[in-house]
Amino acid sequence: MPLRQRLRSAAAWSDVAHNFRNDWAMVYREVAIGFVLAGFIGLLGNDFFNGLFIVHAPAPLRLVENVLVGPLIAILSFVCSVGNIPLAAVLWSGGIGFAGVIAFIFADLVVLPIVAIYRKYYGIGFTLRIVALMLVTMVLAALAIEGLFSVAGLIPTARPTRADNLRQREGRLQAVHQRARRGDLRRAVRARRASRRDRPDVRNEGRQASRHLRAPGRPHRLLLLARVRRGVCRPRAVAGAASRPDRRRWAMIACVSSPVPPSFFFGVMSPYSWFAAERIEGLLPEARWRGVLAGVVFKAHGRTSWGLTERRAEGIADCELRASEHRLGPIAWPEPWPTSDLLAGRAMAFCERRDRALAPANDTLDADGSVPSSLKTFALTAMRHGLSRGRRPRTARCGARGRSPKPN
Amino acid sequence: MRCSRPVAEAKLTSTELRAALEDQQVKDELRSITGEATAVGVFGVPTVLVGDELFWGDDRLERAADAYRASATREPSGPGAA
Repeated sequence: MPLRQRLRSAAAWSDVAHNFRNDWAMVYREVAIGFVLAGFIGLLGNDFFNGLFIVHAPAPLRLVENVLVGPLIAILSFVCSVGNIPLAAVLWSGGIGFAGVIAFIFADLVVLPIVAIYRKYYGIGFTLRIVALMLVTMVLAALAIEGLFSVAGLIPTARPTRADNLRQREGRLQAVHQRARRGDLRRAVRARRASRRDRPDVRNEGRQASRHLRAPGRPHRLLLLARVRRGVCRPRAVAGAASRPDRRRWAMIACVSSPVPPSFFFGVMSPYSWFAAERIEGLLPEARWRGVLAGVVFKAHGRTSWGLTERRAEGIADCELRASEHRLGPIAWPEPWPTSDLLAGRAMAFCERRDRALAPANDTLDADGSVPSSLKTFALTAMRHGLSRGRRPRTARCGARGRSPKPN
Repeated sequence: MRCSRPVAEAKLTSTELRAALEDQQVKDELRSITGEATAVGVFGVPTVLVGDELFWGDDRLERAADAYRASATREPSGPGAA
């Protein structure tokens, strides 16, 4: 039957479906077990595999050992032809010879699940013959390839390690940050997406970022970051007159040209935030205060307030200690605690908006304190009131270079 | 939480504040500030963001201040400096 006719025939398609189904029915258990085991074996460190090879020995002995150990690892590691190349890379970086790697790659034909399948269909005796024949063939083939490649000078010499890979990823990440700093957002986002694929193990921060990126309907983190910066930098005088997209571009240029003031994120019901708020005016008067809902921040990262965990008593004791160190204690814990900071948070957002409206024709609050900040005053008073019945710090000096902001 | 004292200190009037607490724009603003915080990687409070670096905890304030001073001296001064 010609191909065109077969493609249109229902019976042919039915045959295909049956074959496919039967193939899977034949091997699905072995494939599933193989994948699961290969996953676990992938977790073994480099050291595990490195220990298996003779690296410091005469070349011929090393060659023979490697070429035999390669298939052995393949047989024991259950890694089929889908998963053996990454493991081959691990072995290569671990020091196995070229022939060893090649033999390992060939050996996906005799991994245990497949041997089990042979046994099921051909019986034990014939299976042993197949496996032995294949082993000999693959070892000889690997040796032949090693010989040919070394004659042609094609054997690679570089052995990248996992650490190199990580460094490479870190490098890509650095580049992303650099580009973001220059304001080239589109490229940065694209580069970041490219690097995101293999990122999560680089740093914990990567996991948080990708979790954020997966959340639907939220703008990209880098775009948000720029928005944060845009909000806090001082755009040029021309920016006010320019059209909106222009203003945005100017703001971005301004971001690059003037140092971005730090942001101070705090929760109004958090004692640690209070300690920081009492001291930050002395240490970082430039900081832009940002009152957030602590509960939402915790939740976004799958955490919860320590006041709701078994660490509560420990945390309270620690807070009391720090409060007395900063001469702020003892703390008057509200009942119940922690309690909702939603209304206080809204009040702070309102204060922030009002400060922005009252601030001179730029986006930033004046750092030298000449512009009174209702947010700072509100937040500090609320924290003092909420956690210590409104007491001011006992001394004028509080913290290293601390001074509490003037109530205005 | 009773807010009368902080409200007075910040020179807010109770009527404007009462209106603000139910104002959708204020609610959105608070959501976006908190969203910005989580977006830059803030996972707890207090956190100070200096450049791209996060300093979590009230005991890291000094380090944040040092990092800011160091970056301010390093930062290029004009748009010409890339």
